[in-house]
Amino acid sequence: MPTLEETMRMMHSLLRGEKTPAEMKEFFGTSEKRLEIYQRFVRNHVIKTLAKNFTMFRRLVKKEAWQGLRDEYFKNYPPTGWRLNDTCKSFVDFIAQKVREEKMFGGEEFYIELAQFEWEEVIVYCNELVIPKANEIESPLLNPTLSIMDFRYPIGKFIYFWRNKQRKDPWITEKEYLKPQPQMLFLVRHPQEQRVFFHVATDPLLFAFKVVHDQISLEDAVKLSGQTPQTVRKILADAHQAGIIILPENF
Amino acid sequence: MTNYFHTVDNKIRNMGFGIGLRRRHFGEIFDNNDGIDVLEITSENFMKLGGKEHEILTKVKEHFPLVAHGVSMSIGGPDPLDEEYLTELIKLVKFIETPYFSDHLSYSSAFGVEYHDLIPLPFSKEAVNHVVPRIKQVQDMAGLPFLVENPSYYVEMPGAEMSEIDFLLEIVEKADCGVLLDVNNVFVNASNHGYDPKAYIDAIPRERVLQYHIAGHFDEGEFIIDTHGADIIDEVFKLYEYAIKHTGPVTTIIERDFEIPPLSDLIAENKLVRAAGKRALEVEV
Repeated sequence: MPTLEETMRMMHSLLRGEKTPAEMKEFFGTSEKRLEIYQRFVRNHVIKTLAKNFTMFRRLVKKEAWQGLRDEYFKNYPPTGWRLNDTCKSFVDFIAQKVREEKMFGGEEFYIELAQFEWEEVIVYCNELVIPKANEIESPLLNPTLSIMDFRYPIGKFIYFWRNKQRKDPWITEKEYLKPQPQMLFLVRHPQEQRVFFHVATDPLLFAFKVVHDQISLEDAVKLSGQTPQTVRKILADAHQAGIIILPENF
Repeated sequence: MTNYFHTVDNKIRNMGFGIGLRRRHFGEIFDNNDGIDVLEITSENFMKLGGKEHEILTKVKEHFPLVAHGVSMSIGGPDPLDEEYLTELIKLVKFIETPYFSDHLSYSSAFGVEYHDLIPLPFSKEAVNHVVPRIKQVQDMAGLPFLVENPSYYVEMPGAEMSEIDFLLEIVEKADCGVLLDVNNVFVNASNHGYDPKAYIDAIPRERVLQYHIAGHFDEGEFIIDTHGADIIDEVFKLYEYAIKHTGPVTTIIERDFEIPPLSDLIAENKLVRAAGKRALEVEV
């Protein structure tokens, strides 16, 4: 009679795809079909989560490449955390290795950055910090879910085209996005919408970020920027609207 | 040793009829909840999340009694229980003020790898001796009764020394915990492994059952798969009635995880479950 550990190790080999149901049916004394259920379920949890979290990447690289990537990822990066999304946590590193070492996708680093962006969206959405409400704070603060990302490629522009169903625009079809164009993006879980939004870090948004991050008073912000108080207030209000900073109710 | 199981009174044992709260219904659960007495949350869907999920949970606990049901504790797993997981789980159960919490009598991770699925244990004495102290550990950590759910399974693991029901009963008696009896799983397992589902139910001491699950499944022909992705079928309703006759009224939750229908459909199905529960308790003359 096998021990508990022996049984679990045999099951582990099946679930990780190291052994086929045909190879294991004798040990388990059952049909291949019944063993396939478990193998399929465990694998599907990973590949469905990857597909959900890397939607743009998956669609951009097309079906055949995607299927190869997800199968290789499943084989080489076993999930280690109880959160289902954590099954994806090594996917960016995996893509980076494929692009840099194996020159997949022509060695274009854009693909790594696109995967980075999509994974960061998941991280920002899942951030456990609760965003304070305007009536709970006394001075402006940064949205605690804020993530700032530096890209070498125009990721923001690509996503804008992609998500606005403009995939037939020549900028996309001619793969202009593969030309480096540095871009900084702010990602936040919006306090009201509770969805993730990204914003290109424009000068006004960067200014609002600096004012709140460095706790600069409104008076000093006006002096430093050379703008009118109304303009500075408008810049801060816009950043608040975008969800990047939280302004107190009486601001 | 603290006796958590016996702290459960009849009011907790019968919180009424409800459904598992799913993301699709976040927007309307406060406006459209006719006949929903209690909600069950899937613990992992709300642990360590500060956004929409936290917002909904904060609101929903003001409107409904909540119970927490998990899928990732891996109570039967070979690795030590994940302390970070348990800490987060306990934080959650305290936050929602659930009278008990539950997970499956199976394992979902092993040798450092997460499966995100429920893998059956062999019905062996070794497995009993492995699981019992782990249940005691989680009850002690949480200071609340823990319920084990009878999981569905498609392969009977080698090394069985007892029947499925004897395995369950030996564990709950030794660990002194409750049972979350999934009637659909009894139906699925009885069909897939060829035993009498009524005999299974008869064997469970009535006071051990603190909650029911009821759900739909998918018939693949050669076997039935517990998908939680379809309406409850008549045979499962009948088995549920049979179970309620045996245990008396117990909190009952509809589980729906795939092909999730509009809330109004689940409300209608919840009324059918309530009617079945009521029929079961009518005195036969």
